[in-house]
Amino acid sequence: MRLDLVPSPPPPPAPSAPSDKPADRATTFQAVEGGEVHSGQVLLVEAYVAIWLFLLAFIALSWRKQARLHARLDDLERVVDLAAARLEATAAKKPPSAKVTAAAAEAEGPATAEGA
Amino acid sequence: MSAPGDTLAAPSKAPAAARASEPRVGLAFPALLLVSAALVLGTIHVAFLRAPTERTMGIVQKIFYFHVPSAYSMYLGATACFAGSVAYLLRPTDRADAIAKAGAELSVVYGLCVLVTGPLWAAKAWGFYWTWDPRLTTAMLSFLIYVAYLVLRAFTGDGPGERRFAAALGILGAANLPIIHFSVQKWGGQHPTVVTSQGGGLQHPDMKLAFWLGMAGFTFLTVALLWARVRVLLVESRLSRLEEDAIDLGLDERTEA
Repeated sequence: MRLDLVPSPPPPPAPSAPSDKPADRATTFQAVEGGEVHSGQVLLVEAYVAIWLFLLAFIALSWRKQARLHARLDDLERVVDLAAARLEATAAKKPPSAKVTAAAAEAEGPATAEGA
Repeated sequence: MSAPGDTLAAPSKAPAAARASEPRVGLAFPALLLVSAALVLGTIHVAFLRAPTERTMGIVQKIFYFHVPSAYSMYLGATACFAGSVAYLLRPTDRADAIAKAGAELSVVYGLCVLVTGPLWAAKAWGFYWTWDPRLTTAMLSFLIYVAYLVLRAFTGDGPGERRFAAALGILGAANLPIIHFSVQKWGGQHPTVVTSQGGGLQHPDMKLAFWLGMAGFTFLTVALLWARVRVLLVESRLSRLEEDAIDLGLDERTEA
């Protein structure tokens, strides 16, 4: 075997220290025509998630609106209870003859307010 | 105070009248929800596990099984808005107004679904997200009309004048629906026509099954959401009237806004 006749390849260049010159770091970007730009799987999942997010957000907003309505109902109930308590207190303070007059006045009250 | 000319205007008769006009729930609503859930789950099963992948578009074609039913549901919401608006102009009731408003809300929600899923499909199929194609443009216009309707309702109060103006806008918005539908046939553009009167482009039986399950599921879901929303809006109207009555009777120290 005369391996010594085969010219040996030149030794690889010794790694040099990174250069600060921009030209030494020049590279090229090779375009591939027709390559995949968007992953179909990712787009499908995004579309699917978007639909259910929007629908769930709509249901959540509806739930919040119902919660606000409950709070308003509680307020209204409290106001009606207060008014009823006031009415009872007024009726208890007055003598029996005055109570009848007060009850009649209270009964006419809403109709007067409606008419106004 | 209650709207003059409104059929529920008289405060003393309002609660009873409103109760009478409120839709009965019973078992119908839970049954509707169950059917909707079953159909949507069936659509997911068939679309993702049984229907084959399309040859040229690949897996992204499966967006179609939710995109088209969403567009159809947008039409349903817009139709409800139109019907409620016409009914309100003919005979002003809380229920007609609630149906119109709930329909507009659903149109916006489903319109958002359509305008997001469509471009995601187009990114793969066309190579870009958006183009000013006739159908895309008219669909966006319709979506914006219903957004305008909701903005109007949110910022202008709930009096009879505002309700009538919103009803007019609801009717105007519906005029765009046939334009969206026929824009593909009349003006060309890039948007595909898959479902046509000649049979359409869904050749595989599982593709057809997934599509029609999706359409049925979204129809039931839309009716369920519309029903639930109408009930909430009716309760809100009744509550507002009772609050105003309480203020008028001197029960509540607050003043009208």
